[in-house]
Amino acid sequence: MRRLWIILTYVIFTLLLIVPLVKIFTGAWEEGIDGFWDALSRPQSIHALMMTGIIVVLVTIINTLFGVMLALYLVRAQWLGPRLKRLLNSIVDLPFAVSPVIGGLMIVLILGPSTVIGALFADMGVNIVYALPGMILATLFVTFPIMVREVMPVLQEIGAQQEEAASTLGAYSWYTFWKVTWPSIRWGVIYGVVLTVARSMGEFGAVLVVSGNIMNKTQTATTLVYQDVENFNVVAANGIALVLAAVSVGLLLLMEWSKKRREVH
Amino acid sequence: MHIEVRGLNKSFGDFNAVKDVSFDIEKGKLIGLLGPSGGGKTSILRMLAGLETPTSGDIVFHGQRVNDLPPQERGIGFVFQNYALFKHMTVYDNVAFGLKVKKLSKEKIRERVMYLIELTGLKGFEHRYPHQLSGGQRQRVAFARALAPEPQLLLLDEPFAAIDAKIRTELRTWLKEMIERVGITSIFVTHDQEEAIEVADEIMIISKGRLEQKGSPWDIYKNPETPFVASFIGESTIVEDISILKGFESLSDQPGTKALIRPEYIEHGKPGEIKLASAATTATVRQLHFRGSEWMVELAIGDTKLITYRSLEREVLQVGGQVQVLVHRAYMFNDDDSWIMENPLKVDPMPIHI
Amino acid sequence: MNEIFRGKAWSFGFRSAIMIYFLCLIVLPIVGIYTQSFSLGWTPFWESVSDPLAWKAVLLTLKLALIATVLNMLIGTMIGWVLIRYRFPGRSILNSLVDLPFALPTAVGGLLILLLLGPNSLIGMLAGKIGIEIVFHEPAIVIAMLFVTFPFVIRAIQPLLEELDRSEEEAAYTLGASKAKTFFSVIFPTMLPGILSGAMLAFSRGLAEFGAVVLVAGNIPGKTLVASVFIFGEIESNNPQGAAAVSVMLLTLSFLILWLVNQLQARRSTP
Repeated sequence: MRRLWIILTYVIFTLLLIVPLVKIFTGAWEEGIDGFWDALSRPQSIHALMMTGIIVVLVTIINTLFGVMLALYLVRAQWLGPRLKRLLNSIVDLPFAVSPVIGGLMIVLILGPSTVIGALFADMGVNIVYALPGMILATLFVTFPIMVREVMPVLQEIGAQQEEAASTLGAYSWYTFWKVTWPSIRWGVIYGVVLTVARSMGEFGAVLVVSGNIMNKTQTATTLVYQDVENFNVVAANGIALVLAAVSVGLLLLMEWSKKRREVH
Repeated sequence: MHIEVRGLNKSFGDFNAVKDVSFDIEKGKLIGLLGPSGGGKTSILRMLAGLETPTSGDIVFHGQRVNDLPPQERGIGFVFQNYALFKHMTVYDNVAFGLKVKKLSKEKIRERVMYLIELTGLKGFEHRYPHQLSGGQRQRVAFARALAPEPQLLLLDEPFAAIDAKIRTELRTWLKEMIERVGITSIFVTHDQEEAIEVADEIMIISKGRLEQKGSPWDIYKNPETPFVASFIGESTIVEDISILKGFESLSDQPGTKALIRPEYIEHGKPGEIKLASAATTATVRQLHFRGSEWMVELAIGDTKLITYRSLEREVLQVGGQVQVLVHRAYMFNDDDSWIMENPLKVDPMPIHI
Repeated sequence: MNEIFRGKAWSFGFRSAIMIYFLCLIVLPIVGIYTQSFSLGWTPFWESVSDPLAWKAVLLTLKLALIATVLNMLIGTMIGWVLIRYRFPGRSILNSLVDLPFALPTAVGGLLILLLLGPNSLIGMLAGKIGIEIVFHEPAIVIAMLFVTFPFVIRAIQPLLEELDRSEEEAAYTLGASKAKTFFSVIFPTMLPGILSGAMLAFSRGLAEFGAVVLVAGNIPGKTLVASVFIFGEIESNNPQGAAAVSVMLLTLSFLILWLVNQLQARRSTP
């Protein structure tokens, strides 16, 4: 019985996860190293990877700062009533329930060129939709809950007592945060960063809607894969996908590592 | 530090955790806040520390109102129930924390930390982490850490709750000695009356958010001011109708008055053993329990049950046998009033009737 | 005194900044889409929603997400159990691999399904010979949803199984319960809240999925066009109001599910 279950588990993993993973590594080499290299060295590939890089870095930094702060407020703040706290707490999760396409649509509807705000920004010479700022906003929206959700349980688990002890010993909030709170939540934050990087790198729907997918301008790695598939250029799509998958596997290893560290502390 | 608390109230939503509490504490005293769990003791302590804001009332340290001062500026040391040691710091760094905040020089910090580590008997453990220490050692670290910035007031929340019963007594004596040596005004919270009586100079009994009584342990034991204090401190039996006992017949016209009798107020003996025979009532021995150093005797007078102790040196009683019982005093209470009543027959023995 | 005041002003500014950011980023867009969908009044909203292509897309999404979720509950429960309870070679590698769909871009996931099951692939050809079409038909959509939602149920039941006290099980054995009886009366009830909340998260993710689906679905209106792709199409054909109307339907559904999950978790944490 037990052996059967284990074999079944292996079968499912192989079919659903391992075979695809192998396929992507072999697929990219179908036309040899040159095909792979050609796919990657196209100007649009380089540009798309760069766009993805910029978005990942900015989104991760912004989300980490605001996510950790908001988690601190939602767990610790006494100036928020318990009822308001619960309300905010459930709002945090909303982006998880919103389809990325809809997330993108929201930004187009509010900040698009035909709206009041969008027109205002356009007058100032800043385009939001169909440009980088909108893509960053869309990714921020989609990935916002990740950091908050990773940090909140850690904060709840360590409790407020160590921080209270620090305050009775004369330390103010900033000092207390760096010396007492941060060492305890560090691995939770790192885990959140890894998840945020993974999600913002892989974001597709929201970015596709907001960016307009303009080659060499607003195209990211994932939207380029989409375009290549639509153009039946499967080998090129495979090349980009391989780069993305390799990063994903790296992130997966980082996830495991930070999860283990988090459990130790 | 001299502490004054006036009309302190704290409510969490609809729940009033602390109700109109006022007291004074003299400099250098060791005070025990005693009461059942959830009675508001910890809330009072946290308000003194500035970790909780009072709903109303004043807290005055040294004649200065400190309600609006944050905990950082109150000059207090706080020992938490689970010690709240910084778990990613060594013993040395834990103790040094408050001094580093003050930006003292490295040599000064080292000097003070080593002094405290030696004082608390933690020498050799300075480079350990909290999870490598025993419960008693952790408590010592918490104590040393709280004392390091030289606070004027030391607050301890259930300092012995997380420690094995075996070493708890030892640690109690140690803490009392330590506090006396440092000479710091201290307040500790406990739900264990034995602990409070043994350690504190003065006890404040807190129940349901109210301060029931404040005084020395002996005073509280001898003269309880409320039925709660009387029943909470020491052992006692409650007697519904005390008029069945000789000397207390006059209370038969006061229905609703109950009596609280401590075992040591009850003298008992075989006929002839009690000198004031005229003040004694006859009782039946219901149960005998051996308590190691003495017998616990359960007596019955009609439906009323009394509990007392009997020395092992005296003749052993038999279950079902008859004894004479003399109740020296009782703590009487009804809905409006409470008082202590001495057995009048004992003071002024009645002439013997033939 | 001055310093205290300055500190307070600082922290007030800080708090407000965080809260305003939070409200602008999350709440404003959601309110925006609800108002936009009704901006032209009820009639156009109703027209957009009652367009047969629109509600067929929503119904199709519901049906396929439900199938994927049920499959996920079965597979996820089994794998969660095996990974926690059994020790066997490769266990920890498999356990790490569970999160792969979270780490892999969904578009890459879609591409993989296309490559492995497409008409030019070995499996695709074999299936085609016996008359089963996978890619550009419903099975491919279910597989795509299954792939992206794979970790949810597993990750939801693992902590519950870890917490389950072995002695509870042993108590059942000493009371004479058989293995099967113990599983269904002691272990399964412990796992159930995890299975349910994991399933609901998977369901709501399935409803929302776009990247993996758009590449494999073929997107034939009324047949393999799911809601998120339909919305995308409306945006592309410059009909934001129609897109918003269908979005509102889908969103309301997702929020309901999220609310249910929260209720479920709240009930578990305060028994």
